This record gives sequence, structure tokens and C-alpha cells, in this order.
Amino acid sequence: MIANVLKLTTYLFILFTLIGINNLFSQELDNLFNSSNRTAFGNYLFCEGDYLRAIDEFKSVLSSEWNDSLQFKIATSYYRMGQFDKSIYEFQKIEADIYLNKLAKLESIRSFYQIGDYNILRDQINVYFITMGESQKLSKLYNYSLLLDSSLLPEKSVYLSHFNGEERNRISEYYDWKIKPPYKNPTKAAIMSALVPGLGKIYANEVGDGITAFLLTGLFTYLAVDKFQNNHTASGWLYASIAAFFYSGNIYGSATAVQNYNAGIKFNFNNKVKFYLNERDQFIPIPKYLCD
Amino acid sequence: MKILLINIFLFNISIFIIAQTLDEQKHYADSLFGIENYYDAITEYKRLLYFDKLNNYKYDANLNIAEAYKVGAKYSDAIKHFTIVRNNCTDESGIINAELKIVRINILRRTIPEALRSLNNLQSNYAGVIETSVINYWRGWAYIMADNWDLASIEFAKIEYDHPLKIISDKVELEKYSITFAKMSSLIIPGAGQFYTGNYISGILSLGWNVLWGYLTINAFITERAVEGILIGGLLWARFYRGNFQNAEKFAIDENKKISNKAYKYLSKEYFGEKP
Repeated sequence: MIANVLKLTTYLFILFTLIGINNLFSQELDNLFNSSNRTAFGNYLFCEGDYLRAIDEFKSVLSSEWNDSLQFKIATSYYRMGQFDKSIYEFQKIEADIYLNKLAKLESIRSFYQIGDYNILRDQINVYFITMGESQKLSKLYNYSLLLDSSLLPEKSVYLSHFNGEERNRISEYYDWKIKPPYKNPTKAAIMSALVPGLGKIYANEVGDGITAFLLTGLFTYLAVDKFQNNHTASGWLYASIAAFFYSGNIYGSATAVQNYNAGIKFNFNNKVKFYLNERDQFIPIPKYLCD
Repeated sequence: MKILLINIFLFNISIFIIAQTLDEQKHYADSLFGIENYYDAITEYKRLLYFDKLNNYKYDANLNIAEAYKVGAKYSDAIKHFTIVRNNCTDESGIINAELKIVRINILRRTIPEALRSLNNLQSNYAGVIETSVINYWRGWAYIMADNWDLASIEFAKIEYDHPLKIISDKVELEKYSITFAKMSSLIIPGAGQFYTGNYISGILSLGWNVLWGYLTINAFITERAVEGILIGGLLWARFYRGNFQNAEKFAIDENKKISNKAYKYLSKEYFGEKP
């Protein structure tokens, strides 16, 4: 009797196990294009870095049933492909899930930073403050962004109040730079070169060019004067034209050299600020996925 | 016992259904590949690979993914999948075939040292298995894409003295201008290098400027105006003289590029032999 019961139990166990396996395989693989399979495949593509195809899979799933988590991955895929406009558009569609909605707002702010639209970035941070509450780190990003465009900065004490310790010293330097950038004056450079050929170039940190311009203009002027004094009018005019060419070219060149110098200074400053922000992920936590 | 047998039967049926589903997926991907819809073909092959837990389709799917990526000029992705194909081959001919595909992509994307290194490895590791003519052929193509037509000609000549690609390589090499000659001729006679490369107006201008400043320099020295002579000679004549031979060198390089590009265009459209 006991042996029969044991036998029957064993049969039943094997039966249910096989039915289970049977169902598992047939449900999973009889249609590779059902939602769960598409989601699994999309996740695989996302983890592989094949974002374009992952987006296709996720969008296909979303066409039949909405899922904020998949929508977040679509937006992240666009961000990772460097298509920040599209990522912002996709992040905006996340509404129902409170947690993902908060993350999506933060990611949109990061995308606006990448685009370089600092006005909208600050607007978004303000909206975030109102809807999600104060955030110390976002206020830092807000204030750093003021350094990157032509916005007016608040009073130094107010501005620095968002920062502490070592960072406060650094941002204080940036603040001073922004208030009084070490730009040079193109008009001043042109006047300097008009008075002493080459001096404007030296002022624009192009010492070699300055000395060359001084020597060339000086020598051709000397030759022109010498020729006119010796009644060699034709060659006098030739050398005078060359001297005039160098002289006027040097005045114009000095002004543009200072403009280039200023552009370089601004470019380096912006790069320095961006590098600092990028090293800290723009003070916004990076969403992590299982495959990251 | 009966129940057990029934379930074993059912289990086998389910395995069969899965296999059939994957086979259908393979056919679907193949059909997309066949109509040259490479983007979707890659997606469907990748789907197949994802669900093919037994790796039954690993070789075929990766091979076609690699080919599709190659058509789309996604060479790094193509190499990645050809490498998977190579690593999953058990027979020597399959490995050689995959390795040659990688070589051809390296030729196409002009990572020539990598292509040559792979060909050398193939030659030393599979001596006797792979034909030397195959190695020479792709080495010749590597040199063509490296714009080294004389070495390409040598490689094709090893296959056949009258090999069509040898004839083309020789023709291109003959048409090309000697950069050294262009530069040296302009050093001796200003403008000569420009004339040699067919840039006559530039040659005349170069000659004219050098004659003018040369005359004024020499005249200044003859009439004992040494300072003036040094200034004109050192600043103006030297500038135009240097510009003249640098210009000749640049013209020769540019003209050679035009000749090479014309040859590449010809090979792409008119040559019907195997290409990278």
C-alpha cells in the first residue's frame, strides 16, 4: 500500500515537473514577439549598447501596454546615443510612477545641461524645487550654470552661500573670473600697433609675430624713405606700399589676435567649469541598471 | 508508466515547437537579409541568437549579422561578429574563411597594418591549408588601399604575371608624379615642379615672382646696396622661393591623390573580381 502511494507520488511529481517545463518552454518561446519576450530582448539590446534596436523593441511593447520603466529606458537610450532633444521629449512622457517621474525630471535637467540650454535648465530646477522640494545638489548645478552663459550673477555672499569648504574657495575663484574676466581690449591692441608696429601683437601674447611685424614694417619704411631721398621714386613707392601693407595688416591682425585670445580664455574657462561638473555627474545621481 | 511516457512525448513535442519557432525566426531573418533590409535583418538575427539557448544558430546568425554590418559600413561591429564566428568554428577552413573576412574589413577601413599582420599569421599558422595566392591577393589589395601601388603590383605578380590588378597597379604607379622630382625641379628652376604636375598658371606666377625678387636682390648687390639686397633677398625672394618648391610638392601630392581616387573609382565600378 505504502509502496503504491510512493509510486503514485513519484509519478505525479514527474508529471507536474514535466508539465511545468513544457508550459514554460511553450509559453516563452512559441511567440518571440509577445510583450514579455520583446521586453526581455529589448533589455538585452539595451545592455549590449544597441540602443536604437532596444528603443524599437520597447516602443513596440508600449504600443499595446504602457510601462513607465520601459519609457524611462527609451529616454535613457536616446540620452546615451547623444540625442538629448529626443531624450528630453521621452522623459517628459513619464508621469504615473512617482519615483521614475522624479528621476525623469532629473535626467531632463541633465539633458538640458548637455544641450547647453542653461536658461531652461534653471527653469526646470526651479520647477523641481517647487514640486519635489529643495535639493542642495541641484542648487549647486543651478549656480554653476550661471557661470556658463551670460546670466547676471547674484551678490558674491549670496552666491557662495550654497557652497562649503574647498569647493567654496574654487567657486569663489570662478565667481571672480566671471565678474571680471581677464579679457584684453582689441581697440587697445590696434592703437598699440598703430603707434609701435607689433606692440599690439605682443600685448595679445604673440611675441614672435610682434617682433617680426616690427622688423618688417621698420625695414620697408626705411627702404622707402631711403629711395625717396635718393630720388628713386618707383622703388620708393614699391617699398612704401609693402611697408603700408605690413603696417595696416599688423593693426588689423593685432585686433583679431586679441579677439582670438579672449575667445580662448572664455573657452578654457567654460571647459574648466564643465569638466568639474562632469566629474561630479552634474550633481545628479546617475540611474543604474542591472547591466551597468 | 503510461503517464510518464505521455509526458516525455509532450516534452519532446514542446522542444520540437521551440525548434520550429526558432527555425521560422531564422527563415524570417534570412528573408530580410535576402531583400537587403539589413537593419531589420540584424535585429531579427539578434533576436534569434537571444532565444537560441542551445547555440544552434550561433554561427549562421553571427555570420549574417557581420555581413549586414559590413554593408552598413559598421566595420567595428562587423569585425566583432566575424570574430565570434571565427571563435566558434571547429574546422580550419571555417576559421580561415572568418579570418579572411576580418582581413577584408581591415583593408576596407584602411587599418592596413592590422590586415597585413593577420595575413602573415594566416600564412604561418595555416601553411599548406590556405593557398599562397589567396594571401598574395589580399595583401595586394591591402597595399592598394594603402596607396602603395608598386608593392601591390609585386604581390599580384606573384599570383600571375598578367594579373589584371597587377596591370592596373602598374598603370597607376606609372601615372603618378614623383614628389621628389617635382620638389627638386622647382628648387633648380622655380615653377618647373608646377609645370611638371600640369599647373601651368601657378608655374608661370612662381617663376615671375622669383625672377622679379631675384633681379631686385642681385641688382641691389651689384649697385652696392647690400642692406637692400639682404632685405629683399632674405625676406621676399626667400619667401617666394620657399613657397615655390613647397607648392610644387603639394601639387604633386594632390595630383597623386586624384590619380589614386580615379583608380579606386575604377576598381569599385569596373573591376569584377573579388573585392574587399
